[in-house]
This record gives sequence, C-alpha cells and structure tokens, in this order.
Amino acid sequence: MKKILVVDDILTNRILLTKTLETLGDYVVVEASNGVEAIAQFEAESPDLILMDIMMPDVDGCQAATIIKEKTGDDYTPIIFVTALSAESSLARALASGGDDFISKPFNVEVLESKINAHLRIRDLNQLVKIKNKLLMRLNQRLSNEQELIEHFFENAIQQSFLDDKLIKYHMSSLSAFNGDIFLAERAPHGGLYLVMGDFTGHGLTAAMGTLPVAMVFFKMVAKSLSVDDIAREINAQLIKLMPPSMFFVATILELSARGDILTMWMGGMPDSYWLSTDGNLKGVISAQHMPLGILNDDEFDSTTQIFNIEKEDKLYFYSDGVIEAKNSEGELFGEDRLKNILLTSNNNRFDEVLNQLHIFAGKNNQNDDITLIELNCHAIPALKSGTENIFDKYALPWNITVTISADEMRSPDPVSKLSTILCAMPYVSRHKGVLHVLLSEIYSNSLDHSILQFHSEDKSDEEHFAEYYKKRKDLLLRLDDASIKFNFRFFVENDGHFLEMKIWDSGVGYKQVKEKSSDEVLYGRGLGIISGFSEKISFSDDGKTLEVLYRL
Amino acid sequence: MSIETRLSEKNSVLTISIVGDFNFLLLNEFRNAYNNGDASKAGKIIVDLRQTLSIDSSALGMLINMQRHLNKPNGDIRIINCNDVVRKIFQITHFEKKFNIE
Repeated sequence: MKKILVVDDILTNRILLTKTLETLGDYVVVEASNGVEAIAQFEAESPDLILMDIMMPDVDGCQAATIIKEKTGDDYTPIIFVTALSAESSLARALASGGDDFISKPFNVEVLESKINAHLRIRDLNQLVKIKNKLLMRLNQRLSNEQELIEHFFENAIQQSFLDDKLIKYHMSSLSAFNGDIFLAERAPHGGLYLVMGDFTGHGLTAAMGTLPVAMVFFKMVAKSLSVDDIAREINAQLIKLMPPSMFFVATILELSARGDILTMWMGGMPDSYWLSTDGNLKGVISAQHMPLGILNDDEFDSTTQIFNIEKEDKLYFYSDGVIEAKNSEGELFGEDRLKNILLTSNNNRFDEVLNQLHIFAGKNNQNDDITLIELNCHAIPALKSGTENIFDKYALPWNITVTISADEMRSPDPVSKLSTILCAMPYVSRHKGVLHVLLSEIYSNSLDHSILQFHSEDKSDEEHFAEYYKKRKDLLLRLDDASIKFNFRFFVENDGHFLEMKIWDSGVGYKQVKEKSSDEVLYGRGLGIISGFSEKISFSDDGKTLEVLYRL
Repeated sequence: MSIETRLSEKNSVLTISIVGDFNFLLLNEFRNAYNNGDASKAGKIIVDLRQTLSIDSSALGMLINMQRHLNKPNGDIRIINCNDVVRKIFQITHFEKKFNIE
C-alpha cells in the first residue's frame, strides 16, 4: 500500500486532501503541519509521495523540499506542490528547489489523481532500475573477481619464460585483457633455448584458453630437453584433445642450440620469418611448411623440422599476422613488403623501427588484431644456473658417511644410483649430482671389474670381446659371494672451499694402476682418466688397495 | 633408460637418441641401433644426447665400437646436445678428436 505525506499548515486543507485521497485509492495518509514536521515525518514514515503546501511559516515548502531531496539520494520520492500561487516565477522557484510537479489550489480531483498516479509509476520504475542496477553491479564485481583469478592463472603459466634481452626482443599487444597470442621462451638443461610463438583463432578469453595447455606442454618438455618435433607433436595432440574443431593454433616452435649456431624450426601457418645477417643482408625467408596445430590427428601430423646453420649475431624476425594486417585510416594493409623493406633498410635497431613505423602507419586507427613481434639475436646461450648456488660457509659442519656394498647388492639392478642418491642427500652435495654420479660409476666399475672380478682391461679391446666381456661379467657376478666395496665419504672445510674426500676400499686384489694409454683407439683404462679429470687429486694407498679421490664441492 | 632411432625423410641421416643413463646396460640396444640396414643407408649418423643424464666409460667404448663398425670418415658421426658433464667427459678422454661433438 502506498503511503502519502500531506503537508499543510492549515488543518482544513489537510483534512480536505486526506479525505480526497482516501476516496481516490488505497492510500495510507500521514500528515505534517509545517516544514520541520514534514522533514521529521519523511524520515519516520518514508512516504512514497509528498503533497506539499508552499506558503508555511518558518521552514516553507520549498526549503523543506530541498532538504528532503538531499536526504532521498538516488531514491525517487516525488514532491508535488499544492499551491495557491500562480506567478510563474514562484512556481519556477518551487520546482528549482526540488519539487517535481505542482497542482493549483483549489485542485481538480481528476488532475490530482492522474498526477499522483504518474509520479508513483515513475517511482516504481526507478526502484526497479535500482534493483536491477544492484544486481548488475554484483554480477560485474563477480566477473572482475573471476577475471583477476584467471589472469593469475595466465601469469603463472607464462611467467617462467626466460627472456634475456641480449637474445630476445619482443612486443605483444592485445585487444582485450586476455590474449590469443602466445610467446614463451625457456632454456633446456642441455643448454638449448626454445621458443614457441603463435596465435590462436579468435580473440580474448576463448582464444587465450588455448595458451594454457600450450604453456604447460612446452615448459614440461623443454625441461626434459625434448626435440622440437616432439614438442610440436605433443602440443598438437593436446590441442586436438581439448579444443573445439573451429579453433586452431598458428605457431612457430624453435630451438637455438647452446652455442647459438643451429636453429631447428617447426612452423605451421605462420607468416614468413626473416633471417638477416648482422650487417643487414637478407639470408633467408623462412616459410611455414605445415598446417596450424590443432587440426590434424596424430597419425596425419607431420613433425618434420627445418634446420639452419646460423652465424653469430644473425637475427631472426617473427611476427603474428596482426602486424601485416594492420590497417591505416584508408583501410590499406601494412603488408609484408613494407615490413621487409623496413627490416632491410634500417641501419640499426630494426626491431624498434618496425614498431615505430607500424605505430605511425596505423595511427589512431586502432589495431584490429593481436600483434606480436619478436627479434631473436643469435648467440651462445647463457647457461642455466644449476639449482641453488652453494654459499661458502666457513663453519659448515664436517660429516662422514660409510656405505658398504656387498655381493647381493652388486647383483641388484643399479647400486650406483642408490649410492649417489644417499650421497646427494647431504648438504652442499646435491648440486654436484651429475658429476658425482659419473665418478661413483667409474670408481665402482673399477673396483668390481678389475679388483673383485679380476678382469683385465685388455679383455675389452675389440668389439666382439667388448660384448663378451659384459656377458662374462654377468656370469661371474652371479657366482660371486662374500665380496664388498666400502665407500667412505668425508666432508670438510679447508681454506676457501668445501671438499669431499672419498676413500674406496674393496675385498678384491686391489687396483693395478692401469697405465693410461692416450690413443683414442683404446677401449679400456678410461675410467681412471675420467675420475682424475673431474677431481682435485687421486691417489692409491694401502698397497694399491684403497683409492682416494678428493673432490671440490 | 632407452634408445630411440629415427631415419630422416630421405634416409640421409640416422638419429640415435639415448634417454637416461648411457652405460653398458644399453650395450645390445645401442648395437642394434646402428648394426642394421638403416645405418648403412644413411650417410650421416647423429647421436643425440639431449635426454641423456650421464655417460660412463663403457658408453665411450660403445661409441668407439660404433665408429669402428661403421667405418665412417671423421665428421660423419655427430654427437649433439651434450650436457656440461657429458661434454667434460668427452674433453677429458679426448673424444673430440675422433667425433664431431656439438
């Protein structure tokens, strides 16, 4: 039921209005006899509409209207002045003070009724809009919260990129908060640098969705130093599995060898790449040989790569179609020729020059596609830092561990791996796992083969014997009992370094220090050479029965 | 630990990839990788060590054996993508004289 506030300083007027309203409809009527009371009643009763006299002592109708309108905020509470004034200037002042309409005294009941109905309708509409706005705001808030979360995903997926500015310059811009363009770079453990760059069909979130599986596959496979063709095949397989058929991924995947001299590339559906020497000569235009990723099934997929021999400081330019499809105000395309021309005529800093020219060309004509431009400046790739760097600690605690491998363990599949796992669990050691594994393998096979099983290195001297040797070794190992190899590892700090001393003793006849033959044709005796090549010092003690190796951590 | 082989499109290059530790446990598998028709068809052999974690002296012996068996001129057998430790082993043992190591 609608509530109407009637304000008039004359009682009979109030009674007349109230009675009239009661005949007009189902209204609750509240009254006030002056401006101050009107404000109080407005606050107490929250009426839907106010009928207000203008001429009242103290606070008149206009002043009351101004104060009430201030309090309503964006709520629409219509104020209709009921007035005997007829001067247009007074009416204008009344409306300016915050009133919404007026009706002259003596009033016509039908006019009064239609005005009240009209303003109540506006009030209803206003309230509906307010409710909808609130709902929209809440939805909006939720969307932007979600967007933030999604951005977080993308950032995490893509952040790990290795972007050394000596090697790589890149520019990416996008049409919306999310990007259908992707560019990732990462170094592999074997030293190579891998890049993947590309463009999903469409824009925005839908297009960006595809970048997540690409990033995950890419980083995972690069960490295993897998080849470009394997990576292309796996990304294709993932996209086929995940994406709707209408979506695909135009991409270039490449590996630059650790020395920066071999480039292996798989290109699918990408625009031509330009290969320039350091003095700006065009050495090649590399075109895509394949369809985009995410179209062909695995059995139809062709992972063949192109391989190029690169010279130091050669530069390669890659870009998404957004670059050549940029339009100027006349609708003309930027085009490949223009791009190639800029690359070939700029003296230095071709990368910036392309971006600059592109900016001038497109002008205010906002770009209509995601744009990616990449320059790869080929040279040797800085090595990966292996795990956490050790910090020299003068007061690192010394330790000592002894591991004895006996015949049963010698017969088990891979005792050396177990041994290096134990050793590398110790502080300051794990970073050296690669080398220590090699050292332990060589030390172990020296002890086992020469001292315990008593083979002679000469037994390995040609191909047939070599195979025979390992067969015989297996047989002997099966019949072996009561043998052991004891490894003692001692960690200590001396002067400026951490050291690992290894003492190896075995139950066999002891090493005969095989004279190193330097000829490359020799199939044996390399073990000790490798051990001494990686360590500070090797020596024999205990009549050749104990091997001592000093290794600097 | 395993070995994968791949013959290039025009049969010109045989790539032998070693996954994991390269040691005598791979003796037969490695021999089979080059001791077949593919290797004689292919002009060049690439031993790809990108996924090789470690090698030991028996693996060096296996490489020498391969070279003897195939009797290819220097440079036709390339060993590529060595990690730092593996590269150092080749250096210490002077394998760089005999193989094209990248």
